Amino acid sequence: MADDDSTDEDTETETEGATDEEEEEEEEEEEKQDEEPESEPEETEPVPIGVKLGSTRTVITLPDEDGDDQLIRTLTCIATYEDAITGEEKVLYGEEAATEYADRVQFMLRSGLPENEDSAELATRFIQELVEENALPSDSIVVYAIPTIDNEEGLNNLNRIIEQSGIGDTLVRSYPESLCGSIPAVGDDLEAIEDTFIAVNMGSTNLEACAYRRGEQIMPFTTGGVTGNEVDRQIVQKVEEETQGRVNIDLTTAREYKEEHADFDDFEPFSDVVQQPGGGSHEFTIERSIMDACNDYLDDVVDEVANSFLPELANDYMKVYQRALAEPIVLTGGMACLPGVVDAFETRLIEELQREIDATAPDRPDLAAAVGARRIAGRLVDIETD
Amino acid sequence: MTINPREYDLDELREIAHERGERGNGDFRFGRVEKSPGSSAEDVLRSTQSRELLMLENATEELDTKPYLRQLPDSYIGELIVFEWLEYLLSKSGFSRTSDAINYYASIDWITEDVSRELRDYLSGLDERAGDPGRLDLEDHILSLVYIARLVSFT
Repeated sequence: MADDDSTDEDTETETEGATDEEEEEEEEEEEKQDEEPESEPEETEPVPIGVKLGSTRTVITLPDEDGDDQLIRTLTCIATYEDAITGEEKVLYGEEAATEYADRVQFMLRSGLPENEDSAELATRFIQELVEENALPSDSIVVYAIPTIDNEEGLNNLNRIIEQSGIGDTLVRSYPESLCGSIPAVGDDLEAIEDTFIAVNMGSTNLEACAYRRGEQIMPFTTGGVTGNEVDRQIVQKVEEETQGRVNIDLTTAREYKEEHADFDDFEPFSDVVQQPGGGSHEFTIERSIMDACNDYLDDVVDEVANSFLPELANDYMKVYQRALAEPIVLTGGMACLPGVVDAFETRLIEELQREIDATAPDRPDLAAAVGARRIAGRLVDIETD
Repeated sequence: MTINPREYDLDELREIAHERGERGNGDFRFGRVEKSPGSSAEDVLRSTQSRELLMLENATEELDTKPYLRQLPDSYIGELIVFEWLEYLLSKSGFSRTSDAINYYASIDWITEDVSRELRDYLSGLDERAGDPGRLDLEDHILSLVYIARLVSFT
């Protein structure tokens, strides 16, 4: 019996030995696989990104998976609130912040640039939230379209915001907003940088005009007296007048009325309803407030261009003046989106100058600056990866 | 790195635009030389230009190696030659094709990139003539080469 036991033990041993052999073989196999050279991770190009950080809207463009332009567009505003459960401070930005926290939402770039530390900090949080939520890559070449405003502190603040944004690790560049916005208007590539022309940026916080000679900025002109925001304020006032004091709208509503209804070609009166204090509602019709405000604005734009900017340009750069006026004047910015504004600008400027001029605008003037910036960034990627 | 939009690097920006692949050189080509009856005047002109080129090549070492024109002359006469040359190209072919021609001359090393940039700066200050500009043909480019040789002799 003992022998039988020994035999069993031997069998068990053999079995164990066989199992051990199998385990050794498996381990050897794994080691071989570990030794096989791994394929190196593919080097990826930095992503080209165009950014327009506007006083009212921020627009970011970058290529999607198919190489087409992906657009991110949001209001340049932020609101903070306390989480009801954790007590932690949370951040909302863009349309959501403006809608849900209308009472305390902050537009950080009201003048075009972050004027102080507080607005700079808010703008930094804004851009970081935007980058994180949209998973914008840090390995990117970013071109910023920036308004030409003489404000050293604002520019220093903006510089810090850009450095902390989380994008643009490879390279960052900035160019005038009016130049970037003109790029999509002049051609399908970067033809604007090889041409001589005049650009007029009709923004919410300033009016810019500039001549460009093969990319060189000539006589940049800026005024804060003719702005899209002023149009909104005028609409508020004129609606109150038109409704005999019965209707008081806020600036956001005024802007919405302007964006939805203003039309230099074919304005149609529209009606709306407001709730009355003490109950009840009041229906009213707007027939002239919107276009009165817009027409006053356009008259002011033409006046500034014809009587402030162009004379200075002609005085110092006559050849550029002549050459540029032989080309269409490029209109960009949010106010250039209003239907019929290009033809209306052209007609009024012709009358003011008593000479023929042409005007043009990109297909989407509100997005053009970011699109133009993105094209420059794309070219920088090509150069960087050559 | 400055974020001030008034202080961007203009040369870098122009290089970025110049680097685009298709336009400028890809679209550029010599026009066909139309043989017209009784072209003896053109033959004489071509012959004169060829002789002038030969003379300048013999007199100017810089024409032995490319790029031929490495800088524009500082002299008054040199500037007059530049303007005369550009006015001719402009009147023949308009602003856009003249700019393309200058890019092309740089790409084939008749002139350097710096000279190309300077010529385009001069060009941007000139007026395009009204009318329908045509393409530059072989003889126009030979004439450009003569102007380049003249400018080389003044540097």
